Amino acid sequence: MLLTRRDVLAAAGLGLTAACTSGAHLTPTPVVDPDGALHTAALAREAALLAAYDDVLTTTPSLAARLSAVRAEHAEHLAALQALRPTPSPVRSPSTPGAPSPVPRTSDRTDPATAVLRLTSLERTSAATHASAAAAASRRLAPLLASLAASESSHAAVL
Amino acid sequence: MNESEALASALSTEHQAIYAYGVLGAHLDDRARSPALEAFDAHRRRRDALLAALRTRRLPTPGPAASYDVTVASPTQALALAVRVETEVGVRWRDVVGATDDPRLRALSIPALQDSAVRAARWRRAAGTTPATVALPGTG
Repeated sequence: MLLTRRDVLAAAGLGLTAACTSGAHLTPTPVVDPDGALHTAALAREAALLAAYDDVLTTTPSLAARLSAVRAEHAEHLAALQALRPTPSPVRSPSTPGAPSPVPRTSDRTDPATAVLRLTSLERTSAATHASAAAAASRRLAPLLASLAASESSHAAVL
Repeated sequence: MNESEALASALSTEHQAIYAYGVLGAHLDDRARSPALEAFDAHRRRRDALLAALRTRRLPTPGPAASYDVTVASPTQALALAVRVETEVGVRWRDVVGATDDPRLRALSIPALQDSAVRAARWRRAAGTTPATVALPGTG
């Protein structure tokens, strides 16, 4: 499930209400970063994509020339996300909304064309999820998520 | 950059893209001309959406320049110009993403950045450029 910005803000609002009604005026109100869950989920998506590429490159080394540059771009995505860590949130998300399901391992018998089709599909799905996350994120995080969506749309187009 | 400046800047770049595709399309072979025409139309739609957004905000809507410095003498130069145009458009749309909280402008700018990245990649591939994609479209 995707968290919309409204969901995240609503959750933050509930947290604030709870903090205020507990009568603890002396307790500083926790500041919840609405980007926290979006950022965590984006990291999970990029890690899953990197794992999927590594899996295919291990089982089908003949695709290295075709896939290595794209894999390197996912490594850049991950690094860019890590460099833009949101302010630490006091609330830990129990799950990582928007994270893709675990990628099924590619069988040794998978032919290269099928492996590329599977990666193309993963790219397309991840691009759509990044785009939805970009729509909900703050001005600080949204441009990066939009760039990731754009990069992965282009991967899906030319793989 | 504030929202008004980002919108005006995106409009200016879309004007330029429309002009450039009008010039470069004539230098492409039949196979590449069809996507160039589609790109031309797509940029006109995005220009119109920007004009509407600026008018809604009662902001000025600058028109295109009389001409732009685009020299194309070969299919290779046409493809290179197409890549440059899409790259520049992507930068401006990414600026819009980071300059607004308006859901309608986010819904306009995010797909615009995605589309420009896809077109840039296809033009790079047509030109034989590798890799055809970039890690962070819209960052220049």
